[in-house]
Amino acid sequence: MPPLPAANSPWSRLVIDLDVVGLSRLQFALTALYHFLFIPLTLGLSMILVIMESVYVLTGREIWLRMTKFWGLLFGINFAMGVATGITMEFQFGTNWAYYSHYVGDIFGAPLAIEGMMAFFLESTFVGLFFFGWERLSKVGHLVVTALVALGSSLSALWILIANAWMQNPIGAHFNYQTMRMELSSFSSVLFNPVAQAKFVHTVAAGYVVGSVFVLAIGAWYLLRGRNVQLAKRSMAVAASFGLACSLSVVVLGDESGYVAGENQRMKIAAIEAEWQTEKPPASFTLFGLPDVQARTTHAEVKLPWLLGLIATRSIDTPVPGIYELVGRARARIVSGIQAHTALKELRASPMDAAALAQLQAHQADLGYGLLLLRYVANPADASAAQIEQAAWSTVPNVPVLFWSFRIMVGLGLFFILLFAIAIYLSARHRFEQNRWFLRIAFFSLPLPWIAAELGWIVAEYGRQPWAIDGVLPTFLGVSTRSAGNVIASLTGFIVFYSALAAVELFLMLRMIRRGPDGLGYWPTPAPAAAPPVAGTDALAAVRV
Amino acid sequence: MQSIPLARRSLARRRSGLQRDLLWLLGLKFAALGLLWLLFFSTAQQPAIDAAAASRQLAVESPGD
Repeated sequence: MPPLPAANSPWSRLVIDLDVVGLSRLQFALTALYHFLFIPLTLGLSMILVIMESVYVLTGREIWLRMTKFWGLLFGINFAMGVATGITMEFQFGTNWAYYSHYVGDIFGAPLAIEGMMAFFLESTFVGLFFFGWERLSKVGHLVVTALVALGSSLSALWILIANAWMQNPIGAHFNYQTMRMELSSFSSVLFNPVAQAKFVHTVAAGYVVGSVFVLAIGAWYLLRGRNVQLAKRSMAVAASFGLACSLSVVVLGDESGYVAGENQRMKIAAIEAEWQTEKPPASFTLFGLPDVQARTTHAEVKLPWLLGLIATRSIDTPVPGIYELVGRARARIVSGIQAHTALKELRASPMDAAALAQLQAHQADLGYGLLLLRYVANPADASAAQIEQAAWSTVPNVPVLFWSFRIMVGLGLFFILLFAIAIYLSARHRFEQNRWFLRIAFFSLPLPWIAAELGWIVAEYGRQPWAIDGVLPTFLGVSTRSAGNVIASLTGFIVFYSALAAVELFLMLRMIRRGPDGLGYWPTPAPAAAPPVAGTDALAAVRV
Repeated sequence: MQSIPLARRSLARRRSGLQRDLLWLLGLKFAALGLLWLLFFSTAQQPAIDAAAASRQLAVESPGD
């Protein structure tokens, strides 16, 4: 295979190279980021629906049924328009990432298949029952269905995150030199991957925050307009209390994610911190700074002592290695990886070569590092010291992007805690309408949780580079043999189609929100208190809130 | 007095209708799944795992590859 051009264009320094690898990455990143506009709202709203319907079942108060139906309608639009966009990502593993699929499909395919089955049978069936079962199920029966919708959404997320976590921390698998791929050796290790557990709870809690801010913001908009006041205030109370619990959880669970990454993805942590040199423990956290990739330093740093050491190592005497030190370790692993690559080459030629097999087994853990050299040289054994150095530095992800993405995400996370805390205070004192400044802030906060969630994924996935599978398979080796024009065509198609889909989603959402529960006419308006009771109905229950 | 048994009968009818619809739905889903399997995942459709192609990609091809 001819060596790929070195990543040295101005664009590559900024974000990504526009060759087949770069274009395939761009396509996957755009479709993933687009897909994740819908997922957190599905996760969050489904759980909020469970809370609202539970109150309805427990109290019998009609307004909680209306709330469940109204927010359920918005949930339905979001679910129908967005959730299926995840399927195109699964197809891309075959179309754009054929070698990736060959190399790790034995492990990666299983959780994706389980997720597909779960979404197909559990999630979609119960979503259908949620919408069409109001008249056909008992109150409790329908609540169980709503709870199963929420559970199904979370379980779908779990399997996807198990697959993703394996890319970050590939355990429970081994390399088979005869089939030239990774093969599953322990499904339970993949399932109980500590990265998967940390990612799952962090991501799902972040989805709950997105749903809570959505309900809070739309509720605030109604209050600013003096419409649907009772429904809006109750919705905001639910969103505020649920949102505060979840936003606190996101911070705590994000800290756990940081600790897990500190164990197995040290380069990611060092890049997030723009920590070029290893600090004396306990390492300080850089609150602000200007990372300079060319000079390999960070200017104008403002540091909080001890904090990084506590987050990344849970101790005050364990060092957090800096980028220079980690590049040094990568250099040593590349040298070892050359040995593995040479042995693998010999084994492919003579499968019974015992010496080559022993050499491969001794250096197998570093094979992926040896493969990094294929970006610079056709045969890793011929690599010069300069090429090894270049490959070692290629293990450093884009420091400024990670540094700022992480800080904006954390800043927004802290803002949500404050927002929900104020909302709870105002809700408890029945003072939402008197504090229109808060309503405006709540409304204009609407896009912020999505920004935080997308930045979280940028930190997680862009921080994994240059690896498709951390330490095992470099991203550039996973790509299919397609032409750049081919990928540009599919990328253009995705952009056009998804933009149209987003426009339709926005149109439907805005139309339903503008109409509001009062304008939708899906249920009768409350009967006046003086109206005579109708046989077989409880007119008082209809107006009791 | 008549309205309660009538309501119960109506609910029972709706539930039995729901069960029928659900059974149809699950049947259709299994059929769709079977079709997907036949078209894309059955043994006849499975692409061969090409170790030689992977060897070339990772620059470890042998003369036989």
